[in-house]
Amino acid sequence: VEIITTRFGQAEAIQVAADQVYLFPTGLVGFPGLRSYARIADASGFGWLQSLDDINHCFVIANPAAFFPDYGFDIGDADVQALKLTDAGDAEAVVIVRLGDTPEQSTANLAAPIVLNRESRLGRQIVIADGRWPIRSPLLGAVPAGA
Amino acid sequence: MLVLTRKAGESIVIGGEVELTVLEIDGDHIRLGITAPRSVPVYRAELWAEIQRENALAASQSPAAETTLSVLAANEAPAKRPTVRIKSA
Repeated sequence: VEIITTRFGQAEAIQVAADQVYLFPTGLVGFPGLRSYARIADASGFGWLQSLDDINHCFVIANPAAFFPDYGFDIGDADVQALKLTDAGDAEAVVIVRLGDTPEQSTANLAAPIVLNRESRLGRQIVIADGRWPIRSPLLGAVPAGA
Repeated sequence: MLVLTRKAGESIVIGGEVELTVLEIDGDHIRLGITAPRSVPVYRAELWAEIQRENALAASQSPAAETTLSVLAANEAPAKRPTVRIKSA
């Protein structure tokens, strides 16, 4: 399917496979009305979640393990049901990245990761309320210098 | 907004499934107890608002962020995907 993406503020038409489209039944926190997202892979470990309801919403996502090797979280019944998750192996966790003008100013939201169920193609933003993981965690500094 | 007056030890019921109890009042601190099904997540409003704000800020990028992303991609450690654990009930 052809979609419009606004990566880096530039509208561009690209092709995505139907199995790259995820439904977020309750949207992301603050955007309950934006429910369909295309997951766009990048050559790097980063990727994109482009809203199909509002082209001006395009999120950078990352595999948290690439920057925060100790990162992990548990999901509860409500999340499992909402994602129709029957096998933990179908779940993939990604985090939203806010890119700053420099790499040092760029952060990941570890307090509200996104879980994607590759089987049902449902997605959900999970809120980790215990304060263990920060909302703005610098991406660099998490990796040892020179690594 | 519906406004109700309650004393310590008194409750209100919301939607038949959620009960909110005033446990203790100490000056400007009020301790609340919440009984809700596991399918109803309960968060402090500040946390919810902060995540909303962070999502809004992350929803678009400046053109300059393209350079930032390419530098970060070069710094990325090869990694497996994190494991999502399902909390047992």
